[in-house]
Amino acid sequence: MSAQSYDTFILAFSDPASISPNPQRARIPANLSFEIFDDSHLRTLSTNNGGGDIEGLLYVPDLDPSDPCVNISTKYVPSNVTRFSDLPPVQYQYIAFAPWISAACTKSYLAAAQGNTAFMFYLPDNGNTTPPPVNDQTWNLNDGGQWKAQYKFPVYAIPGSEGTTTMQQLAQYSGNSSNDKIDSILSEFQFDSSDYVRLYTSFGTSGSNNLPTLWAFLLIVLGVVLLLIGLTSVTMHYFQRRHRRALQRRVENGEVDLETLGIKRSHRMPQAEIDKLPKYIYVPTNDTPDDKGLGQSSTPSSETASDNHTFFSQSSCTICLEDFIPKTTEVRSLPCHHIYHPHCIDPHLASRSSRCPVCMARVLPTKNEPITNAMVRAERRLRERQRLHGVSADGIDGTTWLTNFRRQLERRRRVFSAPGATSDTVQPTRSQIEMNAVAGRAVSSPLPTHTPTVMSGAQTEARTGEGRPPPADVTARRAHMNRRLSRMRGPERTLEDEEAERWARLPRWRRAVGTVFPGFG
Amino acid sequence: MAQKRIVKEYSELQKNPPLGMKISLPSEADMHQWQILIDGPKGSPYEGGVFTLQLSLPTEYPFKPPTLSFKTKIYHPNVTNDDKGSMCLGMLRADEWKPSSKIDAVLGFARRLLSEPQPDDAVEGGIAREFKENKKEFIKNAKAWTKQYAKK
Repeated sequence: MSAQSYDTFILAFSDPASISPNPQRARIPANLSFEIFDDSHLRTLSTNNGGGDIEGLLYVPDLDPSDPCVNISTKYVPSNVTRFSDLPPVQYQYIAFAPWISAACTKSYLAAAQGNTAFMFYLPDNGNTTPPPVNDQTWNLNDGGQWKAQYKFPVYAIPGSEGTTTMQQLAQYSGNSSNDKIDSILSEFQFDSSDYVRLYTSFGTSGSNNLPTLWAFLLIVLGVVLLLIGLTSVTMHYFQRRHRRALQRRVENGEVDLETLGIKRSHRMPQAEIDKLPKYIYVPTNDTPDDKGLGQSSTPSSETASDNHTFFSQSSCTICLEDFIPKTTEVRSLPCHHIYHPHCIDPHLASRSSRCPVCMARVLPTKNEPITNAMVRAERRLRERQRLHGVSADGIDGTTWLTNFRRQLERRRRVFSAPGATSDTVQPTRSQIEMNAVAGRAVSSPLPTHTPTVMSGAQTEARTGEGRPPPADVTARRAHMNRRLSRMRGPERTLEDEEAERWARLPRWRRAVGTVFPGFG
Repeated sequence: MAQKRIVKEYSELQKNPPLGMKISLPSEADMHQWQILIDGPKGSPYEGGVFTLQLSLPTEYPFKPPTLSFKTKIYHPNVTNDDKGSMCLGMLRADEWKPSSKIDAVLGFARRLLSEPQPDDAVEGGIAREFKENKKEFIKNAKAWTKQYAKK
C-alpha cells in the first residue's frame, strides 16, 4: 500500500525486558526533541505486504564488515547511529533506514534488514524535493525489479535533506552517544533510567488514512443524491396533488366534465334506479297531472302536483322531438324536472350517462370519486390538444411516452371532427368485428380493444333488421329500439382506462420511477 | 330513435329551410348523410360563393354530435385546409353537445361562423394569425378562394 505521509518523532518507552508494573509509552513533543512530518514529498517504491499500520522503531541495518559499502556509507551514516541491537528485541516493529547510495549498497542494506515492517531510504543528494518516480533509473537495482518481490515489506523514499536530518537524530537518540538528551527526557517524563528513547516512524498509508475520508466523501455524495431525489419526489408529489385539487375544484364548479370528455367512465344508472324515477301521464301546464293508474312508478307521490306544473310546460321530448300527447303520453321526469319519453331517456341513463340530456344535471347525486393523476394528465393533454388542434399536429408530442395518448386523442379528434371517420373508418370496422364475432367467434380482430365483449342472439337480430324501417307495432318497435340501444352500448372506453392499461404495460422499473416521480410519464 | 328524429328534423328543415341554405340527401337510403349548400353570407369575403357542406349524423345521434365538413375549399381559420375540410368547435364538440340541440341550430352556427370566424379557436393557425394581424390580406385571400373554388 502506498503511503502519502510519514511522521518521524521521538518515543520514550519502558524497557520491555524490565518487570515494570505499568509499562509506559510517551511521544515526546517536538519542541523538546525532534519531529519530521511530511505529507507531500514521500515516494513509495514498493508496496509489498504493506497492509495495516506501518510504523516502528527506526534503525540502520548492520552491513557485513567486509562489504565495501560500509566504507562508502561512513560519509552518511555516523558510527553511533541507532542499530538493531540498540532497540529492544521484542514487542516492537522496526523500520530500517539507510541512504540510497548505489544499487549494490542498497541491495546489501535490503539484505541486512531484520524483522522489518518497512524500509525507508533517502537520496543523500536529493535536497528537499520529492524523490524521483518509481520507474526512474535511480531506483534500478539491475535485477529487473525482482527485489520488490523478494523483500516482503514496503519500501519508501524521503527527500535527501529530511534523510540527512533523520540520520543525525538517529545518532543522537541511539543510547550510544554521550548526549544527555535521553537522560533528561527520561527523568522529565518519569521513566526509568534504563528505559528507551528512540526515533519512531509512522507512515500514513492510503489504506489507513485516506480511505475513511474517501468513504466519507462517497457517503456525503450518496446522501446529497438521496436528498435531491427525495426533494424532487416530494415536490412532484406536491404539484401532482395541487393539480388534482385544481381539477377537483374545476369539476365541482362545473367548469369541466370528465365524463363527457371521455376521461372518466360515465356513471350509468342501474335499471332499478331508473325505475325509481317518477313516471306520469303527460298533462299540459294548465291541467293537473294524473299519476293514477301507473303501476310501474314506484314513488310518484314524492313529487307533489304543484311541482309538476313547471316542468310540464315542455311540450315535446327533446330526444325524439315528438310532441307529448296530453293525457295519453307517459313521461319520465328527472330530478331537474325535465321530462322525456321513458323509452327515450331510459336507455340513455342506463347506457350512456346519468345526466339530463338538456341541462346536464346529474340524476344521481355526485359520488365524490377521487381525481387521479391519470385523470389530471388526460384532462391536460385533451386541453392542450384542443388548444393546439390543427395549428401544430405534431407540436405537443415528440416523445414516446405520449404516443399512446396521441393515438387516443387522434381517434377522438377524428370521431368528432372529421365526418368520414365516424361512418367510414370506425363504425364499419366495429360492425365488421361484431359480424365476424357472431359468424365465426374465432376471427382475430384487427382492433382488439374495440371488440365488444359479448354478442347475443338478439343483437344479431337487431343488426340484420337494421336496414328495414322499424316495425309499426308499438311494442315491437320498443323491443327493436331496446335491442338497437343495447347493441350501441358496447364497452365504452375512457382515457382513464387507456391510462391504466398503459401503466400496466410499463416495465416494473418505469412504474417505480412513475411512483416516485409522478408526472414523469 | 335516431332515425325517427333525423327524419323529423329533415322534413322540418325541408318545410322551413334556413336562410340561404339548400338541404338534400345525396342518397335517399342513408338519412345519416346530408348535403348542405350554403350561400356565402352578405358582407363576408365569402359573398357570392356557394359552399357544399356534408353533415354526418352518427348512429348515436342525438346523444353524439353531428359532424360538419366543407366539401368546397374555403379560406377560413376554423376549417381545416385539407380534403376533409372538417370543423370542430362550439356546440359540435363532444363535450358541449346536448341531445336537445337541433340540426337547425348547427346549420345556423355554421353560417354565423362564415360571417364571424373565431380565430381564437382556430384549426388553421396561419389563417387565424392573418385574420387577427392582417385583415386586409385575409379578406383578399378569402375572396380569391371563394372566386376560384365556390363559384355559383
